[in-house]
Amino acid sequence: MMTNAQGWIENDYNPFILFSSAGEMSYTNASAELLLSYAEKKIFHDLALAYAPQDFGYKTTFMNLEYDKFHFYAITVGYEDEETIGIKLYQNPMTGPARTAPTKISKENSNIYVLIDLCISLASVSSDTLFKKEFDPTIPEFKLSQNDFTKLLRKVYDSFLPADVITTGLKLKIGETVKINSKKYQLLELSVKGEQKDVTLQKSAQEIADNINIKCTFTKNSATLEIPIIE
Amino acid sequence: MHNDVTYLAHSKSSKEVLKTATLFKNLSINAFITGPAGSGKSLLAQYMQSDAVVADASDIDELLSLTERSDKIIIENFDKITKYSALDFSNKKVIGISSKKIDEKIIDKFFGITIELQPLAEREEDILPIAEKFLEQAKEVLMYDEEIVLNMQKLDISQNCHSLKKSVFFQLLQDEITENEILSLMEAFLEKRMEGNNIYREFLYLYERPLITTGLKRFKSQLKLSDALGLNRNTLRKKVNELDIKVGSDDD
Repeated sequence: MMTNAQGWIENDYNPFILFSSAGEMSYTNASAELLLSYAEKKIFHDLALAYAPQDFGYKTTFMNLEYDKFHFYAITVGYEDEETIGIKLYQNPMTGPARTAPTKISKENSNIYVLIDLCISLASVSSDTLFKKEFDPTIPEFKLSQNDFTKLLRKVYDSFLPADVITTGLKLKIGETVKINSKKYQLLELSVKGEQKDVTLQKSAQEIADNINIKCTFTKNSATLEIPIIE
Repeated sequence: MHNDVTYLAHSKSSKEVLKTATLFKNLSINAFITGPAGSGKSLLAQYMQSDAVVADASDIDELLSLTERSDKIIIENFDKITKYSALDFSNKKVIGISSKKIDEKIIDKFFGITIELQPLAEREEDILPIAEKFLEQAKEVLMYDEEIVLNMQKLDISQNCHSLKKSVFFQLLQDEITENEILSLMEAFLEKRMEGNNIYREFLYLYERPLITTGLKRFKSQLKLSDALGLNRNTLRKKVNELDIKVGSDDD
């Protein structure tokens, strides 16, 4: 029975980690692999020990956890012997990488540098903000809805205005991919950093991002867009 | 077609607008242009998409029919659309224009970018170049060959380019207006106002005010002016007061 369920665990949207009695990881599913590139394994080991059931078995506890861009609303900790303890973290569906559903892909070949320049010019019409650019110059043209992307980036910039300096970074995310309509795509990271942020535009930016397969994450002083490079 | 549209940009904000507009030309984006009346919205739209058809949203049937038939459209008075749900901009490049505020959700539904044009008062560097452009147009329209220096004090930017253009044309007309044209203007002006029982006195200021203000500029004092006009000094003083004319120094 367990053998049959292995694939489901591996591909679960929620991270799952098994620890040995020595605190070493003996198994991590794909989602956990991604989580562990943002947070230390010790955090999850400590968490598993703290919320373990009193006796052999499984216990689910509801709590809000946040590690970088990952948000969780509950954990299940379980053990059936002295050797291993497991923890599963339940991802908040609003912030997780929920881009596996069949989705519309734009047919427009777009130059992202031009689109960013356009949004910077627009934001500069009525502000004296200095826009700094830290760009990887090797990004090729790829398929992206220009109308929706500029709408999104304009909202992101607007949320940082007025500001003295806004820094835009653009780089390829090495080793991270996203699956859209069962195809894997490499990711591009566009980051916008400023001094302060107006959170009221966050929701509408998020909605636009969802429509064009972009993952949009906001922290206090920054916004990050993960854009699939669809060629 | 307007293939030779130029957009003058000398102030910082206009330069950014021009840059945006130039980038826009090669992209598949819908743009919304807003700004006060006379700030240059239609001209900018023509610059951005010179081969587009222009539709006025005041006539929704015409707009829908044009939208159906054309790939590139400029929609004037976008705020006058009564049924936004009837619009479908798929596979089209659209520029919407309005000087009125529109619900942000509607803007977001149709447009990728919004360009907000500033009033001329907030982009002073643009005023003279635009006025000179209007002067060129005025000279061509009025077939005027002489050199003329614009009086900056008399340029009117209260209604942005609308009033600026009018004031430039007016300066040119003033420069070569004939006696008959003045009389004809007066007649046209008075024709609409021929009502009441005190018309003579009521409109006498049209003659007296320019005569006295110009005379005061020339002769500097009411004393000299009264001599030149052949008027009694007290009569002139009375008229200056009645017409509420500002006098630099009372050296009478």
